[in-house]
Amino acid sequence: MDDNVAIQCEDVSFSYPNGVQAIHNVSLTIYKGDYIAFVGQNGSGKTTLVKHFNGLLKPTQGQVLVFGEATKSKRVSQLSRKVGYVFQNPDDMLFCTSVTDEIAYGPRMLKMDAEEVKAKVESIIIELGLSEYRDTHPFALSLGDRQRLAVACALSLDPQVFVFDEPTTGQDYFGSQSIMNLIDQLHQKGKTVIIITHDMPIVAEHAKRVVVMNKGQVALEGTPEEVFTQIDKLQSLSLKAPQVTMLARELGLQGTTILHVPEMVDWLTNNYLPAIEPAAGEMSL
Amino acid sequence: MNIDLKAHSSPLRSLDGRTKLTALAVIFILVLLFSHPVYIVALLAFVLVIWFIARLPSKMLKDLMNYFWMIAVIILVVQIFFYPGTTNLLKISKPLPAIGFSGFITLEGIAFGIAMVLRLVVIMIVAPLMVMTTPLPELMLALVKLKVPYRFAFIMTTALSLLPSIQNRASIIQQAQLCRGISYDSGGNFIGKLKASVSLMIPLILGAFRDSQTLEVAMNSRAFGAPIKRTFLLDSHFTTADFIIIAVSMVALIGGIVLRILGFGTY
Repeated sequence: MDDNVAIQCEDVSFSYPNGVQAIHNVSLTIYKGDYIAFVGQNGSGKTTLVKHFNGLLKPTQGQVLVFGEATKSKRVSQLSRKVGYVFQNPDDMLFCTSVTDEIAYGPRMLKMDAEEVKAKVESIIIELGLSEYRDTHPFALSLGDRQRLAVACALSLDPQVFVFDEPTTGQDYFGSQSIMNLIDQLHQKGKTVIIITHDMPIVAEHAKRVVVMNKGQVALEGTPEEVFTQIDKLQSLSLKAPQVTMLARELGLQGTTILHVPEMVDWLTNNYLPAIEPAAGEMSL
Repeated sequence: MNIDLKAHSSPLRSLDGRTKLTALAVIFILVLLFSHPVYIVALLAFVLVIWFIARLPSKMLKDLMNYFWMIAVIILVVQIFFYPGTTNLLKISKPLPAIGFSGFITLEGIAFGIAMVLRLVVIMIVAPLMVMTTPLPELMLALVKLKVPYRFAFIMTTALSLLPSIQNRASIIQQAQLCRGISYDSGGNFIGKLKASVSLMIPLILGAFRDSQTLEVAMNSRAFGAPIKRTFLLDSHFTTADFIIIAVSMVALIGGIVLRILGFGTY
C-alpha cells in the first residue's frame, strides 16, 4: 500500500436496509494532504459515500481502507481518531454546558490523560478564536461560532483527515468565508480535507480536487480546472460551473480557465487595463 | 426499528377510520375485561391473525418484542411474588408480611403474571394495526367524525406524524456523537451508557422544542384555531364491510361483558 494514501475505496457499493442502492461500484483514492470537494445533486450519493470514510456506513460490497486498514471491523469511535467528521448542523453534535467541556468531551471519552486534555482544549480554543466563550453555554453561541465549536470537537481527537458536510449551508457570506478560512488553515497544516458542498464558487476557490457524484457513481473527477471547463457535461449532471467561469467562456476568453473573481480581475488587468487610461482618482483596482 | 407511517396496502386500508377505531376500542376493553390467560391468548391469536391479514411486516413484531421482553420479565416476577394467590406451589422463603409476600409462589400469581404480560403485548401490537393501515388525514377525519374536538385530533395526528422525523433525527445525532468518539454499545457499564445517552437526548429534545416552535409559527400563519366550521378535503363513507365489522365488534363487546358478569374469564 502506498504510504501517501489516506483513504481508498475499492469497488464500493452500498445498499440501505430498505433495499435502495445508493452507491454503485465506486473506486477512489484520497491522498494525504488532499483538499477534495464532493459535489452533485441531492440524492447523488455524496454523503452516503463520505460516511464510509469513518465507518459510519460499511460497504455492502467492496471495501474502504483508512490508512491501510479496512473499516469493516472497526468501530466509528476508533476511526474518529483518524477521520474527523463535522456534521452539517452543529446542533446535532453539541450537548455540554460549556465550550470547554464540549471540546474536552471526546478526548475524555477516549480516556486521554487529564493534563493532556486540558492543554489540548486550551490550544484549540485559542486556535479557533473561541477564547472569549470558554464558559459560555454552546447554545448561546451564534450559528457561526457553534459551527467553529463543532470543528473544535472534531479537532480535539486530532484526526489526520477532516470531513465537512456542507460547512457553509445557512451561513451568510462572512460566515462562509470564516469557516472556509478555518478549513484552509487545517489543510495548510497538512490535514487531508474533504468537503461536501453545493456552492461551486467555494469549490473553485478552495478545493484542489473535485469529485462529481451522480446516481451513486463518480461521474467526473479532476482538478477544478479540469472539471469546471466541462460546462456541458456539468449541465447534464444538473450542475453549473461558477458564474465567473461561465462569463469567461461567454466572452470567449482563450488560453485560460477562470475559476474565481480575483483571477478574472488579474486577467482583465493584464490584458485590457494598459489600454484603458483610468480617469484620475476614479478607478483603482 | 424504523417507524414507517406510509399506509400499507391491505384489506384494512380500505376500511373507514371509524370502523378501525371502534374495533380497536373493543379489543382494548376486552383485553382489560378478562384476566384469564386462556382468554387473553385467544385475543392475542385473533390480533395476530389480523396482523397477517393487514400484511404488516413481521419484523416489526420482532423488534417490538426485542424492546419488551425485559419489561415482561419484570412484570412476571413482580406478579408471581406479590399476587395474593391461594394455591401454593413452591415455598421459597419465610413469609414477609412487610412486603405482602406469603413465602409461596402460587398458581394464581403465575397465571395473573402471564395474563398481565400478554395483555400488554396485545395492547402494544394492536395500535400499529390502526396507525399503519390508515393514512393520517383519514385518521384525523375519523376522529373528527366521531366528534373528537379538532384541536385534540390535530395533536394526536401531529404527534404520530412527527415520530418518523424524530427517529430520523435521533439516528443523525447518534452518528454525530459516534464521530466525536462516543460509543453507545461499548463501555459496558450502566453509568457509561447513561452518560452516552445524554449526548443523544439533549440535542434530540432541544431539536424537538425548536421544531415545535417552528410548527407553531407555521400554524398561526395559516390561521389555525380560527373560529369557523371546518370542512374536509377527504370524505369517508361506511361500506358493507364496515357495518359487518362494527356489528361483530359490538356483539363481541356485549358477549364479553355478559361472560364476565356470568363469572367467566377471571382466574
